[in-house]
Amino acid sequence: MTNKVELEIKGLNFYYSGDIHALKNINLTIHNKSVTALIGPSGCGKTTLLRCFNRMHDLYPKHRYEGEILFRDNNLLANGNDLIKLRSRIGMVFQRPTPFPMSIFDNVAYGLRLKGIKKKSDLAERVEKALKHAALWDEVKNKLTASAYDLSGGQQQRLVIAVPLPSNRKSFFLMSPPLLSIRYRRRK
Amino acid sequence: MVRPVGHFSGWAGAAALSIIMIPVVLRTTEDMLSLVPWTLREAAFALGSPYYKVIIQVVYRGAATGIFTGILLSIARVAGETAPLLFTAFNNSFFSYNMNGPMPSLTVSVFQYAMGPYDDWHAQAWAASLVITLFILFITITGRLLIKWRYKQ
Repeated sequence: MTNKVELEIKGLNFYYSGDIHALKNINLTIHNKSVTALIGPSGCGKTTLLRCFNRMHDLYPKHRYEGEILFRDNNLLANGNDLIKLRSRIGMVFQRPTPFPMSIFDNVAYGLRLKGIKKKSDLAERVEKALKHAALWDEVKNKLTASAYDLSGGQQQRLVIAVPLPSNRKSFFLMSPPLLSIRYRRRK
Repeated sequence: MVRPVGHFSGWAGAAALSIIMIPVVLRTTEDMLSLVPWTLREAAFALGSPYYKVIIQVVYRGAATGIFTGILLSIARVAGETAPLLFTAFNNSFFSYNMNGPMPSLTVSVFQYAMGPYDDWHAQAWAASLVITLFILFITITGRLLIKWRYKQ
């Protein structure tokens, strides 16, 4: 049984500044509710491809895309896209843990606050849910106000996974190879 | 500020000292901001945070300790300034709250009293230097404590 097509990449070419041709004619289909892994040697462009999905390359003006990435039939690479909206729908976790300089609670609440959720009870409930999903709740439930930098490397990585979780529960969710630093535990 | 107004004033002294502070604060702030890693900014952008929120909520927070330390250091630096005060706040032998008139300042008092002919003036000059030193020590310690307290919460 194949699920609905979630994301379709058509003839994607990507150039870093100075016309370094990093991605050459990529065609790929990703299905809904499936786990897709990109595997390859270091430096082959896995992260570059992932960063195209939420237009992270747009932070650097000289990087250039060609082709199409269709996400639920909308072209992500279209010129007039609202990048802020797009990025809040398509979450991304980076290779190295990058918690914000705030408390553990505020880290997870950051994405929610961006979405305009301000009620305390609401926030608390969603933060708890996200931390449970990231298998971190039991370890941090007694020190939610501590700085996120007090956590160990693996805990920090799970924390940054929890950050996009509550705001993106229904949309596409992607990761750059971050799981290396996590002792992986299968969820029940 | 002295010439157009026509007299020495505390405000002029304050303005002169704050101009002296600018380069020190600017330099440390710039350094501290560039120490905030790009990955941190990217992480915030990746969540769909607009530019100004990334700067205010993530970059400034990350650099807050450093910026704060820079400000404290420059206050300490400026507290030991004499020359600019001679031309702006001048001096006043009496205690004064009037920012529009000549203002006494510790450093200028030290200068004048130490130059004076009397032994008790010398003693007072020493006392004033001690007060300055203690004041700077006090600022530095409070700064440290504030930073610690902020991060303990």
